Amino acid sequence: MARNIFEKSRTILQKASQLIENTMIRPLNRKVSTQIDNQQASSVGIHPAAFELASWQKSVLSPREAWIESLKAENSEEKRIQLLNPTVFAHYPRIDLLFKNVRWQKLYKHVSYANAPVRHEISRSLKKPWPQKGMGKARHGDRRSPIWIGGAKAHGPRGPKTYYHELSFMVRLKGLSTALSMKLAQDDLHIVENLDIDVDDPKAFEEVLDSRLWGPSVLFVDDTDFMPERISLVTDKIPHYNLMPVYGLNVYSMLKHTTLVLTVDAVKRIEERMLYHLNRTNMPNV
Amino acid sequence: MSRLIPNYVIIATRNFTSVKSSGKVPEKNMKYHSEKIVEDRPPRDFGYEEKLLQEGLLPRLKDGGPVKNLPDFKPKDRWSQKRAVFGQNDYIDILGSGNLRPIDIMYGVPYWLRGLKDNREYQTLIRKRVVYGLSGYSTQYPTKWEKMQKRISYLYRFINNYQKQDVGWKGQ
Repeated sequence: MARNIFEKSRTILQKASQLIENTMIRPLNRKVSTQIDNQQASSVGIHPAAFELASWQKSVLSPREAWIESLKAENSEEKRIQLLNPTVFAHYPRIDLLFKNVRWQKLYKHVSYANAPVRHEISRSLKKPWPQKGMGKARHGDRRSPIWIGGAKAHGPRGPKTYYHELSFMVRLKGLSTALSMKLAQDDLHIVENLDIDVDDPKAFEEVLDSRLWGPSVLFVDDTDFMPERISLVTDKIPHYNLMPVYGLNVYSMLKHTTLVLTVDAVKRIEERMLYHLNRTNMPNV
Repeated sequence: MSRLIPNYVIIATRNFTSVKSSGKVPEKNMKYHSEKIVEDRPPRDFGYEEKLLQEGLLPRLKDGGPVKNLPDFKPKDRWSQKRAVFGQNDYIDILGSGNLRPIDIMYGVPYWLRGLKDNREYQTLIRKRVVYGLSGYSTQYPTKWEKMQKRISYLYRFINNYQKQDVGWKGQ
Protein backbone atom coordinates (compact mmCIF):
# COMPACT_ATOMS: atom_id res chain seq x y z
CA MET A 1 0.00 0.00 0.00
CA ALA A 2 1.77 3.12 -1.19
CA ARG A 3 0.98 6.26 0.77
CA ASN A 4 2.11 9.63 -0.51
CA ILE A 5 4.07 11.64 2.04
CA PHE A 6 2.34 14.83 0.91
CA GLU A 7 -1.07 13.32 1.69
CA LYS A 8 0.44 12.41 5.02
CA SER A 9 1.25 16.01 5.84
CA ARG A 10 -2.31 17.02 4.99
CA THR A 11 -3.72 14.35 7.31
CA ILE A 12 -1.33 15.51 10.01
CA LEU A 13 -2.86 18.98 9.88
CA GLN A 14 -6.40 17.59 9.93
CA LYS A 15 -5.70 15.31 12.83
CA ALA A 16 -3.76 17.99 14.70
CA SER A 17 -6.90 20.08 14.91
CA GLN A 18 -8.67 17.13 16.50
CA LEU A 19 -5.77 16.64 18.87
CA ILE A 20 -5.99 20.24 19.97
CA GLU A 21 -9.58 19.76 21.08
CA ASN A 22 -8.94 16.52 22.87
CA THR A 23 -5.56 16.82 24.49
CA MET A 24 -4.79 20.49 24.98
CA ILE A 25 -2.71 21.10 28.06
CA ARG A 26 -3.70 24.44 29.56
CA PRO A 27 -1.59 26.22 32.17
CA LEU A 28 -2.75 25.84 35.76
CA ASN A 29 -4.09 29.31 36.56
CA ARG A 30 -6.37 28.49 39.42
CA LYS A 31 -6.48 26.23 42.43
CA VAL A 32 -8.69 23.14 42.21
CA SER A 33 -10.14 20.97 44.93
CA THR A 34 -9.57 17.33 43.89
CA GLN A 35 -6.37 15.45 44.63
CA ILE A 36 -4.38 13.28 42.24
CA ASP A 37 -3.76 9.59 42.58
CA ASN A 38 -0.28 8.80 43.83
CA GLN A 39 0.02 5.76 41.62
CA GLN A 40 -0.98 7.66 38.53
CA ALA A 41 1.31 10.52 39.41
CA SER A 42 4.34 8.29 39.80
CA SER A 43 3.66 6.58 36.47
CA VAL A 44 3.51 9.97 34.79
CA GLY A 45 6.65 11.24 36.46
CA ILE A 46 5.13 14.05 38.54
CA HIS A 47 5.79 14.37 42.26
CA PRO A 48 2.52 13.54 44.03
CA ALA A 49 2.73 16.47 46.43
CA ALA A 50 3.30 19.06 43.71
CA PHE A 51 -0.22 20.31 43.09
CA GLU A 52 -3.89 19.35 42.92
CA LEU A 53 -5.56 18.53 39.62
CA ALA A 54 -9.08 18.60 38.23
CA SER A 55 -10.55 15.55 36.54
CA TRP A 56 -10.04 16.92 33.05
CA GLN A 57 -6.44 17.65 33.91
CA LYS A 58 -6.02 14.15 35.24
CA SER A 59 -7.30 12.69 31.98
CA VAL A 60 -4.99 14.91 29.97
CA LEU A 61 -1.98 14.05 32.08
CA SER A 62 -2.79 10.35 32.34
CA PRO A 63 -0.40 7.99 30.59
CA ARG A 64 -1.22 6.82 27.10
CA GLU A 65 -1.34 3.13 26.32
CA ALA A 66 0.03 1.08 23.45
CA TRP A 67 0.12 -2.62 22.66
CA ILE A 68 3.46 -4.36 22.81
CA GLU A 69 3.63 -6.22 19.51
CA SER A 70 6.28 -8.39 17.92
CA LEU A 71 7.92 -8.57 14.53
CA LYS A 72 7.38 -12.31 14.35
CA ALA A 73 4.16 -13.97 13.22
CA GLU A 74 1.30 -12.93 15.44
CA ASN A 75 0.43 -15.31 18.22
CA SER A 76 -2.87 -15.78 19.94
CA GLU A 77 -1.27 -15.06 23.31
CA GLU A 78 -2.37 -12.11 25.39
CA LYS A 79 -0.60 -8.88 24.64
CA ARG A 80 0.85 -6.58 27.22
CA ILE A 81 0.33 -2.85 27.37
CA GLN A 82 3.08 -0.25 27.53
CA LEU A 83 2.32 3.02 29.31
CA LEU A 84 3.61 6.11 27.57
CA ASN A 85 4.34 9.41 29.25
CA PRO A 86 1.97 12.12 27.96
CA THR A 87 4.56 14.88 28.16
CA VAL A 88 6.62 13.00 25.60
CA PHE A 89 4.02 11.06 23.64
CA ALA A 90 0.94 13.28 23.91
CA HIS A 91 2.42 16.71 23.48
CA TYR A 92 0.50 19.64 22.00
CA PRO A 93 1.14 19.39 18.26
CA ARG A 94 3.51 22.25 17.58
CA ILE A 95 3.77 22.07 13.80
CA ASP A 96 5.71 25.32 13.67
CA LEU A 97 8.42 23.78 15.84
CA LEU A 98 8.48 20.71 13.61
CA PHE A 99 9.17 22.97 10.67
CA LYS A 100 11.95 24.76 12.55
CA ASN A 101 13.56 21.48 13.52
CA VAL A 102 13.49 20.09 10.00
CA ARG A 103 14.89 23.29 8.54
CA TRP A 104 17.66 23.35 11.15
CA GLN A 105 18.59 19.75 10.46
CA LYS A 106 18.80 20.40 6.72
CA LEU A 107 20.77 23.62 6.98
CA TYR A 108 23.16 23.56 9.91
CA LYS A 109 25.54 21.15 8.22
CA HIS A 110 25.13 22.64 4.76
CA VAL A 111 28.12 24.38 3.19
CA SER A 112 27.98 26.20 -0.14
CA TYR A 113 31.35 25.94 -1.88
CA ALA A 114 30.47 28.44 -4.62
CA ASN A 115 33.48 30.69 -5.16
CA ALA A 116 34.09 33.03 -8.09
CA PRO A 117 37.64 34.37 -8.36
CA VAL A 118 38.17 38.08 -7.96
CA ARG A 119 40.20 40.03 -10.50
CA HIS A 120 43.36 39.72 -8.40
CA GLU A 121 42.99 35.92 -8.34
CA ILE A 122 42.59 35.34 -12.08
CA SER A 123 45.70 33.82 -13.61
CA ARG A 124 46.18 36.21 -16.48
CA SER A 125 48.88 38.67 -17.28
CA LEU A 126 48.85 42.16 -15.80
CA LYS A 127 50.24 43.58 -19.00
CA LYS A 128 48.40 46.50 -20.53
CA PRO A 129 46.83 44.99 -23.70
CA TRP A 130 47.41 48.06 -25.93
CA PRO A 131 48.49 51.65 -25.41
CA GLN A 132 46.11 54.06 -23.75
CA LYS A 133 45.76 56.40 -26.72
CA GLY A 134 46.05 56.32 -30.46
CA MET A 135 44.59 52.89 -31.18
CA GLY A 136 40.95 53.81 -31.64
CA LYS A 137 40.14 51.09 -29.09
CA ALA A 138 38.64 51.28 -25.63
CA ARG A 139 41.11 51.89 -22.85
CA HIS A 140 42.02 48.86 -20.69
CA GLY A 141 44.61 48.09 -18.05
CA ASP A 142 44.60 44.30 -18.04
CA ARG A 143 42.61 41.34 -19.29
CA ARG A 144 41.44 40.29 -15.84
CA SER A 145 38.68 42.85 -15.57
CA PRO A 146 35.04 41.72 -15.26
CA ILE A 147 34.34 43.34 -18.61
CA TRP A 148 36.52 40.81 -20.39
CA ILE A 149 35.58 37.30 -21.39
CA GLY A 150 37.62 34.99 -19.22
CA GLY A 151 37.99 37.73 -16.65
CA ALA A 152 36.82 37.88 -13.09
CA LYS A 153 33.36 38.08 -11.57
CA ALA A 154 32.88 41.40 -9.80
CA HIS A 155 30.34 40.59 -7.08
CA GLY A 156 30.19 36.85 -7.21
CA PRO A 157 29.96 34.31 -4.40
CA ARG A 158 33.04 34.37 -2.24
CA GLY A 159 34.37 31.33 -0.52
CA PRO A 160 32.70 28.57 1.39
CA LYS A 161 29.57 29.81 3.07
CA THR A 162 28.21 28.06 6.11
CA TYR A 163 24.58 28.00 7.18
CA TYR A 164 25.29 26.86 10.70
CA HIS A 165 22.91 28.12 13.34
CA GLU A 166 21.81 26.82 16.72
CA LEU A 167 18.28 25.97 17.60
CA SER A 168 17.32 26.48 21.21
CA PHE A 169 17.32 23.41 23.37
CA MET A 170 13.64 23.57 24.29
CA VAL A 171 12.61 23.99 20.66
CA ARG A 172 14.45 20.81 19.79
CA LEU A 173 12.99 18.96 22.77
CA LYS A 174 9.47 20.01 21.87
CA GLY A 175 10.08 19.16 18.24
CA LEU A 176 11.00 15.63 19.27
CA SER A 177 8.00 15.25 21.53
CA THR A 178 5.67 16.70 18.88
CA ALA A 179 6.94 14.26 16.29
CA LEU A 180 6.55 11.31 18.67
CA SER A 181 3.08 12.46 19.69
CA MET A 182 1.94 12.81 16.13
CA LYS A 183 3.23 9.38 15.22
CA LEU A 184 1.32 7.89 18.14
CA ALA A 185 -1.86 9.80 17.41
CA GLN A 186 -1.88 8.77 13.77
CA ASP A 187 -1.26 5.04 14.40
CA ASP A 188 2.22 5.25 12.95
CA LEU A 189 3.98 4.32 16.19
CA HIS A 190 4.32 0.67 17.11
CA ILE A 191 5.99 -0.70 20.18
CA VAL A 192 7.77 -4.01 20.02
CA GLU A 193 9.32 -6.27 22.63
CA ASN A 194 12.57 -6.64 20.68
CA LEU A 195 13.85 -6.67 17.12
CA ASP A 196 13.94 -10.44 16.68
CA ILE A 197 12.41 -11.81 13.50
CA ASP A 198 11.76 -15.32 12.23
CA VAL A 199 12.17 -14.61 8.50
CA ASP A 200 15.42 -14.54 6.51
CA ASP A 201 14.14 -13.35 3.15
CA PRO A 202 13.77 -9.57 2.69
CA LYS A 203 10.67 -9.95 0.53
CA ALA A 204 8.99 -12.19 3.07
CA PHE A 205 9.73 -9.66 5.81
CA GLU A 206 8.28 -6.91 3.66
CA GLU A 207 5.13 -8.95 3.14
CA VAL A 208 4.78 -9.45 6.89
CA LEU A 209 4.86 -5.69 7.49
CA ASP A 210 2.65 -4.88 4.50
CA SER A 211 -0.03 -7.23 5.79
CA ARG A 212 -0.12 -5.19 9.00
CA LEU A 213 -0.24 -1.91 7.00
CA TRP A 214 2.94 -0.69 8.64
CA GLY A 215 3.70 1.81 5.92
CA PRO A 216 6.03 1.69 2.93
CA SER A 217 8.98 2.98 5.00
CA VAL A 218 9.74 1.89 8.56
CA LEU A 219 12.27 3.11 11.10
CA PHE A 220 13.28 0.61 13.79
CA VAL A 221 14.73 2.12 16.97
CA ASP A 222 16.44 0.23 19.77
CA ASP A 223 18.45 1.30 22.78
CA THR A 224 21.75 -0.22 21.58
CA ASP A 225 24.12 0.17 18.64
CA PHE A 226 24.39 -3.58 18.14
CA MET A 227 21.28 -4.87 16.44
CA PRO A 228 20.31 -8.54 16.10
CA GLU A 229 21.85 -10.34 13.16
CA ARG A 230 18.75 -11.34 11.23
CA ILE A 231 17.07 -7.99 11.07
CA SER A 232 20.37 -6.31 10.19
CA LEU A 233 20.89 -8.58 7.21
CA VAL A 234 17.31 -8.24 6.04
CA THR A 235 17.08 -4.45 6.33
CA ASP A 236 20.47 -4.08 4.67
CA LYS A 237 18.83 -5.17 1.41
CA ILE A 238 15.75 -2.97 1.80
CA PRO A 239 16.59 0.74 1.59
CA HIS A 240 13.34 2.00 3.11
CA TYR A 241 13.66 -0.10 6.28
CA ASN A 242 16.28 1.45 8.53
CA LEU A 243 17.71 0.69 11.95
CA MET A 244 18.74 3.36 14.42
CA PRO A 245 19.87 3.62 18.01
CA VAL A 246 18.01 5.93 20.37
CA TYR A 247 20.69 8.60 20.25
CA GLY A 248 20.30 8.76 16.48
CA LEU A 249 16.58 9.48 16.59
CA ASN A 250 15.59 12.82 15.03
CA VAL A 251 12.62 14.73 13.68
CA TYR A 252 13.65 14.54 10.02
CA SER A 253 13.92 10.75 10.04
CA MET A 254 10.63 10.42 11.88
CA LEU A 255 8.88 12.44 9.20
CA LYS A 256 10.69 10.74 6.33
CA HIS A 257 9.72 7.25 7.44
CA THR A 258 6.01 6.55 7.48
CA THR A 259 6.11 4.22 10.45
CA LEU A 260 8.18 4.28 13.62
CA VAL A 261 8.84 1.10 15.53
CA LEU A 262 10.28 1.42 19.04
CA THR A 263 11.39 -1.33 21.34
CA VAL A 264 10.38 -1.25 25.00
CA ASP A 265 13.95 -0.36 25.97
CA ALA A 266 13.94 2.48 23.48
CA VAL A 267 10.72 3.88 24.92
CA LYS A 268 12.15 3.81 28.43
CA ARG A 269 15.36 5.49 27.34
CA ILE A 270 13.57 8.19 25.36
CA GLU A 271 11.22 8.99 28.25
CA GLU A 272 14.04 9.04 30.76
CA ARG A 273 16.17 11.37 28.66
CA MET A 274 13.35 13.74 27.71
CA LEU A 275 11.99 14.05 31.24
CA TYR A 276 15.48 14.55 32.62
CA HIS A 277 16.11 17.47 30.29
CA LEU A 278 12.65 18.94 30.85
CA ASN A 279 12.95 18.91 34.63
CA ARG A 280 16.62 19.54 35.29
CA THR A 281 17.65 22.70 37.08
CA ASN A 282 21.30 22.79 36.06
CA MET A 283 20.70 23.57 32.41
CA PRO A 284 23.98 24.69 30.85
CA ASN A 285 24.14 27.25 28.10
CA VAL A 286 22.75 25.15 25.27
CA MET B 1 -0.33 19.64 -42.61
CA SER B 2 -3.77 20.34 -43.95
CA ARG B 3 -2.93 24.00 -43.47
CA LEU B 4 -1.00 23.84 -46.76
CA ILE B 5 -4.22 23.43 -48.61
CA PRO B 6 -6.77 25.31 -46.55
CA ASN B 7 -10.37 24.88 -47.43
CA TYR B 8 -11.00 28.50 -48.23
CA VAL B 9 -8.46 28.34 -51.08
CA ILE B 10 -10.24 25.35 -52.53
CA ILE B 11 -13.49 27.17 -52.14
CA ALA B 12 -12.04 30.19 -53.93
CA THR B 13 -10.69 28.15 -56.85
CA ARG B 14 -13.86 26.18 -57.12
CA ASN B 15 -15.80 29.38 -56.99
CA PHE B 16 -13.92 30.83 -59.93
CA THR B 17 -14.28 27.77 -62.08
CA SER B 18 -17.90 27.29 -61.28
CA VAL B 19 -18.71 30.93 -61.85
CA LYS B 20 -16.81 30.98 -65.12
CA SER B 21 -18.32 27.79 -66.34
CA SER B 22 -21.94 28.11 -65.39
CA GLY B 23 -22.36 31.76 -64.47
CA LYS B 24 -23.97 30.75 -61.20
CA VAL B 25 -22.59 30.80 -57.66
CA PRO B 26 -23.20 27.41 -56.07
CA GLU B 27 -24.87 27.46 -52.69
CA LYS B 28 -22.30 25.17 -51.09
CA ASN B 29 -19.52 27.73 -51.50
CA MET B 30 -21.42 30.61 -49.95
CA LYS B 31 -20.40 30.29 -46.30
CA TYR B 32 -20.58 32.70 -43.44
CA HIS B 33 -17.49 33.13 -41.29
CA SER B 34 -19.03 31.09 -38.54
CA GLU B 35 -19.61 28.23 -40.97
CA LYS B 36 -16.13 28.19 -42.45
CA ILE B 37 -14.20 25.56 -40.55
CA VAL B 38 -10.70 24.11 -40.95
CA GLU B 39 -10.53 20.90 -38.96
CA ASP B 40 -13.59 21.90 -36.93
CA ARG B 41 -12.10 25.33 -36.17
CA PRO B 42 -12.38 28.74 -37.79
CA PRO B 43 -9.29 29.62 -39.90
CA ARG B 44 -6.45 31.09 -37.87
CA ASP B 45 -3.42 33.06 -39.08
CA PHE B 46 -5.19 34.18 -42.20
CA GLY B 47 -2.65 34.99 -44.90
CA TYR B 48 0.25 33.42 -42.99
CA GLU B 49 2.61 31.27 -45.02
CA GLU B 50 4.61 28.72 -43.03
CA LYS B 51 8.22 28.91 -44.14
CA LEU B 52 9.51 25.92 -42.20
CA LEU B 53 9.50 22.60 -43.96
CA GLN B 54 6.58 20.61 -42.69
CA GLU B 55 7.44 17.31 -44.30
CA GLY B 56 10.36 14.96 -44.72
CA LEU B 57 12.91 13.55 -42.21
CA LEU B 58 13.82 15.24 -38.91
CA PRO B 59 17.02 17.34 -38.83
CA ARG B 60 20.30 15.53 -38.36
CA LEU B 61 24.01 16.13 -38.49
CA LYS B 62 26.32 15.28 -41.39
CA ASP B 63 28.39 13.00 -39.18
CA GLY B 64 25.34 11.02 -38.29
CA GLY B 65 25.83 11.79 -34.60
CA PRO B 66 23.10 12.48 -32.06
CA VAL B 67 21.29 15.81 -32.02
CA LYS B 68 21.49 17.68 -28.71
CA ASN B 69 18.35 17.32 -26.64
CA LEU B 70 17.31 18.12 -23.13
CA PRO B 71 18.88 15.54 -20.82
CA ASP B 72 16.76 12.59 -19.82
CA PHE B 73 15.03 12.89 -16.49
CA LYS B 74 16.83 10.76 -13.93
CA PRO B 75 14.97 10.79 -10.63
CA LYS B 76 17.15 10.92 -7.55
CA ASP B 77 17.35 7.85 -5.35
CA ARG B 78 15.54 9.16 -2.29
CA TRP B 79 16.44 6.05 -0.29
CA SER B 80 20.18 5.98 -0.93
CA GLN B 81 22.32 5.33 2.10
CA LYS B 82 22.99 8.96 2.92
CA ARG B 83 19.43 10.12 2.25
CA ALA B 84 17.74 7.32 4.17
CA VAL B 85 19.47 8.18 7.44
CA PHE B 86 19.90 11.91 6.93
CA GLY B 87 19.71 13.79 10.19
CA GLN B 88 20.85 10.88 12.33
CA ASN B 89 22.61 11.91 15.52
CA ASP B 90 21.47 15.51 15.35
CA TYR B 91 19.84 15.18 18.77
CA ILE B 92 22.70 13.30 20.38
CA ASP B 93 23.10 15.89 23.14
CA ILE B 94 19.45 15.30 24.13
CA LEU B 95 19.02 11.58 23.60
CA GLY B 96 22.61 10.51 24.18
CA SER B 97 24.66 10.60 27.33
CA GLY B 98 25.24 14.35 27.02
CA ASN B 99 28.98 14.54 26.44
CA LEU B 100 28.61 14.93 22.66
CA ARG B 101 27.03 17.81 20.80
CA PRO B 102 25.98 17.99 17.13
CA ILE B 103 28.85 20.40 16.50
CA ASP B 104 31.32 17.64 17.45
CA ILE B 105 29.92 15.25 14.84
CA MET B 106 29.89 17.44 11.72
CA TYR B 107 32.24 15.09 9.90
CA GLY B 108 31.11 16.04 6.40
CA VAL B 109 32.09 19.67 6.93
CA PRO B 110 35.74 20.82 6.70
CA TYR B 111 37.35 21.15 10.10
CA TRP B 112 37.79 24.89 10.04
CA LEU B 113 34.16 25.51 9.05
CA ARG B 114 32.49 23.49 11.78
CA GLY B 115 30.36 25.67 13.97
CA LEU B 116 31.17 28.80 12.01
CA LYS B 117 28.17 31.10 12.01
CA ASP B 118 29.63 33.94 9.98
CA ASN B 119 28.52 34.63 6.47
CA ARG B 120 31.11 37.29 5.88
CA GLU B 121 34.08 36.42 3.76
CA TYR B 122 36.43 38.40 5.99
CA GLN B 123 35.60 36.43 9.10
CA THR B 124 35.78 33.11 7.25
CA LEU B 125 39.26 33.93 5.98
CA ILE B 126 40.43 35.00 9.43
CA ARG B 127 39.22 31.70 10.84
CA LYS B 128 41.01 29.79 8.08
CA ARG B 129 44.22 31.67 8.81
CA VAL B 130 43.94 30.91 12.51
CA VAL B 131 43.38 27.20 11.92
CA TYR B 132 45.92 26.67 9.13
CA GLY B 133 48.44 29.34 10.04
CA LEU B 134 50.94 27.11 11.80
CA SER B 135 50.14 23.87 9.98
CA GLY B 136 52.43 24.26 6.99
CA TYR B 137 49.73 25.53 4.62
CA SER B 138 51.87 28.59 3.90
CA THR B 139 54.74 26.45 2.62
CA GLN B 140 52.64 23.82 0.83
CA TYR B 141 50.36 26.23 -1.00
CA PRO B 142 52.34 29.49 -1.13
CA THR B 143 50.34 31.14 -3.91
CA LYS B 144 47.02 30.43 -2.22
CA TRP B 145 48.37 31.62 1.10
CA GLU B 146 49.71 34.82 -0.40
CA LYS B 147 46.44 35.57 -2.16
CA MET B 148 44.53 34.88 1.04
CA GLN B 149 46.73 37.29 2.99
CA LYS B 150 46.30 39.99 0.38
CA ARG B 151 42.54 39.45 0.33
CA ILE B 152 42.36 39.77 4.11
CA SER B 153 44.29 43.04 4.12
CA TYR B 154 42.20 44.38 1.24
CA LEU B 155 38.93 43.49 2.99
CA TYR B 156 40.18 45.04 6.24
CA ARG B 157 40.76 48.33 4.48
CA PHE B 158 37.51 48.14 2.50
CA ILE B 159 35.31 47.34 5.51
CA ASN B 160 36.88 49.98 7.71
CA ASN B 161 37.26 52.78 5.20
CA TYR B 162 34.62 52.39 2.52
CA GLN B 163 31.77 50.29 3.87
CA LYS B 164 28.98 51.55 6.09
CA GLN B 165 28.69 50.09 9.55
CA ASP B 166 25.21 48.59 9.23
CA VAL B 167 25.66 46.83 5.95
CA GLY B 168 23.44 43.84 6.66
CA TRP B 169 23.31 41.01 4.15
CA LYS B 170 24.51 43.00 1.16
CA GLY B 171 28.12 43.31 2.20
CA GLN B 172 30.33 40.32 1.48
